[in-house]
Amino acid sequence: MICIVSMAYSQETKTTLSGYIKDATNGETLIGATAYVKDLSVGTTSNEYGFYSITIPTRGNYKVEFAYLGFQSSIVNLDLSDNLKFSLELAPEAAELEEVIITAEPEDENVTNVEMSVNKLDIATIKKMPSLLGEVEIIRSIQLLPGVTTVGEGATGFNVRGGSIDQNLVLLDEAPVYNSSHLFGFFSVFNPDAVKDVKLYKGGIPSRFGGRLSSILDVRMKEGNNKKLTVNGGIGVIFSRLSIEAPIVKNKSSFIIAARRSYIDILSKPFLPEEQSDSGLNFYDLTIKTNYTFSEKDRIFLSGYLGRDNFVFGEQAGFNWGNATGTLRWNHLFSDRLFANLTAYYSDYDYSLSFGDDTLNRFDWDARILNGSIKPEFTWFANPQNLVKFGGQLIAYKFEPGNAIGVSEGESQVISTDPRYALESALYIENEQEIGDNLTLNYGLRWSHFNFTGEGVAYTFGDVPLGERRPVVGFETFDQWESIKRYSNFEPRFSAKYQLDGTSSIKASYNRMTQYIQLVSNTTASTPLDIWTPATNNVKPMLADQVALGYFKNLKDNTYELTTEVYYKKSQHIVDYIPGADLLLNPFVEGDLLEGEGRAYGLELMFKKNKGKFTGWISYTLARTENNVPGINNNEWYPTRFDQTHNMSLTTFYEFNDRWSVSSNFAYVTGTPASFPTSRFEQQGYIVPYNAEESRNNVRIPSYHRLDIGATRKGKIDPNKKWYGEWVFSIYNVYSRRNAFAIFFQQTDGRPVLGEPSSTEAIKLSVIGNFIPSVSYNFKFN
Amino acid sequence: MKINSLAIALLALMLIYSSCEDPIIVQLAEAAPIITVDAWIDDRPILQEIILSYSQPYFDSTLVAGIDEAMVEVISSAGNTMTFTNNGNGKYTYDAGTEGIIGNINDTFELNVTIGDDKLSATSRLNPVPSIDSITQEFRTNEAFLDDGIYCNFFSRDILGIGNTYWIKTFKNGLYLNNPQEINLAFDAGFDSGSEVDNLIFITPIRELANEIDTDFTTIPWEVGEDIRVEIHSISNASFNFMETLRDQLLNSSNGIFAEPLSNTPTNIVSETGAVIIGQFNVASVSTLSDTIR
Repeated sequence: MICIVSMAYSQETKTTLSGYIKDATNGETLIGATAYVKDLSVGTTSNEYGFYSITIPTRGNYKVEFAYLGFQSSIVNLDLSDNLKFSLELAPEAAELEEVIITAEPEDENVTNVEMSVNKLDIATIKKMPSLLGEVEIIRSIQLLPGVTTVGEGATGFNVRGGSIDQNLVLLDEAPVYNSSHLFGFFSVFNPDAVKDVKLYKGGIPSRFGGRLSSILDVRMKEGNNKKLTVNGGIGVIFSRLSIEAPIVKNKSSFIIAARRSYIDILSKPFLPEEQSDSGLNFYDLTIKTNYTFSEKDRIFLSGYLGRDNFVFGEQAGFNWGNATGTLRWNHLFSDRLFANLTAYYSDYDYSLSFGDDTLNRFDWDARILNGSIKPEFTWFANPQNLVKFGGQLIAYKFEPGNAIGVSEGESQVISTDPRYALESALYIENEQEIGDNLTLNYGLRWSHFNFTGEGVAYTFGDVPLGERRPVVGFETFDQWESIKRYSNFEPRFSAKYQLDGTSSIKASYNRMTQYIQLVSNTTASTPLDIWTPATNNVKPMLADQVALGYFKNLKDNTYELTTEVYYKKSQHIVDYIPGADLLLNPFVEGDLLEGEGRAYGLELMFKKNKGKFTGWISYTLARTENNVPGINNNEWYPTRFDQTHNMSLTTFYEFNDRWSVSSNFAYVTGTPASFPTSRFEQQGYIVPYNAEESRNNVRIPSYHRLDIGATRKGKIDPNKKWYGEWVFSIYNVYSRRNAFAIFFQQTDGRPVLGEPSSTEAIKLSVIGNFIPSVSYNFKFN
Repeated sequence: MKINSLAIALLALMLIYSSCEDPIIVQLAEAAPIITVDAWIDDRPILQEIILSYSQPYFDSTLVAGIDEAMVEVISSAGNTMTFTNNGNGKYTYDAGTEGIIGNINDTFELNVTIGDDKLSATSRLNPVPSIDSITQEFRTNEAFLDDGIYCNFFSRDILGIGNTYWIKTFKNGLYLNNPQEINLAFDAGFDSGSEVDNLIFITPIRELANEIDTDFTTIPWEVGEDIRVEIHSISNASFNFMETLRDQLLNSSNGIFAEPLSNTPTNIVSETGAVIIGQFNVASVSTLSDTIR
């Protein structure tokens, strides 16, 4: 346990111990490793760049213990009579080269850390889970955590504590990723071979993060092995993966290149009729990163991601969509106690789609969201009791909601909606303060500002009865960077931990979040065509206030971990849509939006077993998410499409021996709400469903449950062999349950015959109708 | 079809192969019957029909219950009153062939319906319609997702001015192609109000909808000797919105995971007592062209 005692000390006797903590096998920096001076009871954890700094109140010789979960701890005698820079490398536990010192410090982070509503999934755990078609999946894995849901199988993104998918800020090396999925929601864009660390903040969000209401998913990429060349790869049913990492200048510079490509199209080609041989689906992604250490004080990182999904219908038509991000970071140590990071990033999501017979008759359409940002951040290790972070961010956005050209018999017409521009900025400060032995606080303030600017046209809309399309009644033209509408908000953040005893604590948090851009989407699962749109003179930024309270308890020397949290979240200015809303290529889309409020509350339980041959967790969430949007559901509260009363998942791992291990997932989720008709009417011979109650999400579809199992056969670890291989077997949806994604209503059979009765039916759509076995082979070469 | 509907339908098609659909029995809430007005008339000298009926429970597969003994009349801005007479089963007709066409382009019309103590009314304007220049026939081979065979296109140019809306109907051997997949709506020469394609020849996907389309979205080729007839009906913007919502509701099931929430069709029928009424009143001008497949 890191137990920091405040003590009186004078300026003269103080020294600072600082440095980096790394993985001995590949030189990767370790995030969240601890450094602890037992005699003085002072300690700290390494930051996102592996840097730590401890202020030593009294000079002298001390034993300092460095530890990280899954690694052998190291106790080092250090002469701290003066400021000391000390970096070290920790070896993974499995290596069993030296005597393993088991320490409790990092393992009870759950209880001792002031953070709450935060889930960390290490990539090794994610890799052990059984997965769909054998693909290691980050987004689907976090859906097994309490408070995280999805609207259904195959839907892109995830919902956190009742937030829609666009309320999650998904960061890949600090750059936002606007669409985190390949093939809709089946696979995420993150290549597991390139990912180092995944952290999800659901509440108590520190003031250094902002811009989304519900969560931050912070994905950090590996830096690349700076000791030796390593090749990782895998051959699966869907993807093949290959990554190469190696030092460029040993211990100073390294790189990683990781690529994946799907090959359903290549495999299926010989079986398609000739005229369809140009048709198919493929997706790929490429992740690269390099770094250079100039000195103990300066280090830079350059990372990039490029991914694309392509769907081709013969020569005439096709769709493609994808993200590209680039991040440049510079770490600088102003002093042993002041760490700075400057990030500059670029992120782009775009899609294009075309169809037509030939060049004289076609339709081409593309859309994108582009943004660049600069973000200076400072960490000041003020003293053992106070850790101060401050900084700011400036983001420039360009939204291109649609550039389209229709060509009809050679005549072309541009059908574009104007681009929109905006600047978002923020300043923040936060302090993590330890008061006495038992109380830790993290308090901060974020000030955010949004400037919706020209070049562009700002429309004003007239009033109509609620729920109808508002007509444009006026417009005004603005020049480049001329402000159309400004918003600013103060966002207080607060969390507190009170240590009850050595193994338990209670925590409380409050945060206010503001979101200035949102995804306009009216479909059950978000489509790749959905458009991001800024807050405008007609659309207000969304605001959310969340409080959470938690009890954390570890049992039997941290073998078991119990987490209990309750939360209540209230959102303002959330968006819904008029019936029949037209959201794409519509310059007047704001006239189709409705504004309302939301509330979400719930209880989350997680019981985890961390040690032994048998590990895993059970997670349970009891929750309610509702919106009230005037113009919908007779102006009454209605559950959102992803509201799930009960959401339970059980994830287990069992290691038989050094070679064989098995794993399983079981999920049970209450059926999501849907809108069902009550009646039907006839018009011009068509039989049309009608909801006489005008209600939204008035019925629930059947509950969802699914079991997956997996087994891994590891290769022999032989230090003399350069090749290591493992086989991964999995069965997804073991008992072939046809879980309902949605229920539809339709005329039973084709063409209605005039004057004859025609029947109507309800149809259950299951995205996956069977069990799906898979096998994949992963290898490592070094 | 809204552009997004088309794109989303294509996206959904990509997922169909892994997914499956099963009929299911569900319990639906009960609701009282609602008066439905089906009043789509045009300026041709043929029998014009207005149907009054009640909505029924969704799974009730019997014929709709017509409302007889109502008073139905249409009054034009030119001062003509056309009385529609009841023929049973909720059907009310006016024979424009013998009694004269209902009016001329740019006339406005008021529908008045009296059912018991309630008076329903609606208005519509007779908008102009462009003529159909040609229907082309082409033998197409070796195209992805298209069987080899004869396919038709119709050619016509949208009338100048933004905001003209049309319902294009295709008939095969005199029979209206009435699958929901075959509903062909145009806003100017394109799909919807967002796309400003004013005064163009109707764009490709619209003119290609002059073919038979199966419920699985497969286009079916024509056989030699079959008759094709294409009609363009000018409809009001309100009727366009009505038909667009109607079509979206009927096709929602094919959007799979990208379905939109159920939304009721809007109506332009107003009840004096404030009762909720379903349906639409539209007065159309119609242009027609027929051909035989060679």
